[in-house]
Amino acid sequence: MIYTVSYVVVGGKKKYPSGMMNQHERPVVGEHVRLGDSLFEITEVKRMLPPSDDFEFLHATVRPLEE
Amino acid sequence: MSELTQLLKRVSLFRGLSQAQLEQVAALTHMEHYHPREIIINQNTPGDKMYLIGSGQVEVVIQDQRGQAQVALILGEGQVFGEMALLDQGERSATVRATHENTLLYTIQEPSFTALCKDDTTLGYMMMRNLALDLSFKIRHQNFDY
Repeated sequence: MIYTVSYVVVGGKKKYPSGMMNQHERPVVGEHVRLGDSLFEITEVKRMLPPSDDFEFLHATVRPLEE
Repeated sequence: MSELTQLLKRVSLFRGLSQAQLEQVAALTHMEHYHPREIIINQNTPGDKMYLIGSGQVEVVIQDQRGQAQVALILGEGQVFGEMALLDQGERSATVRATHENTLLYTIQEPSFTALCKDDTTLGYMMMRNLALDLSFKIRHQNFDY
């Protein structure tokens, strides 16, 4: 399965860009992810669309770790 | 199976394509390398090709009407950008620049992509469906970001 993940940043002192990427592992709450130069912690994961072929479409909310 | 067709199998834009069709698409691609901060495409310039991220990340920068530029989105491996040029041949809607050392991109030119879709209408149907789904995913993502 390939996970196409939409990452949106919630919180932080400034506005961070969101992110999108394909990955082999399903994102898990508590894991860290790097978007550009910034590191984030995943706080929520939910399905965005039903799976199609070998793809699952997810939305993850993240919070900044380095400020 | 080549490394490139392995990558194409991991890209949702090419889901549902057979091995032979993936190899046809792979034959159209050209490889490009970029360094951090290097600009790949410029907003408001003509576009004639689509980009697929093989490795690294890129940032999508949008300049508003007052001239203020803002990084709106980070795209990573397996994501595509510039795909609207395959459909409407319009100007680029954003500037895109690399953020990682040795960002590896594969490009597909609009004329060769269109010719392939016309030659193999089954492939053409799936590609158009997948392009629509990809744009739908991006709109849904944007809705979450507001």
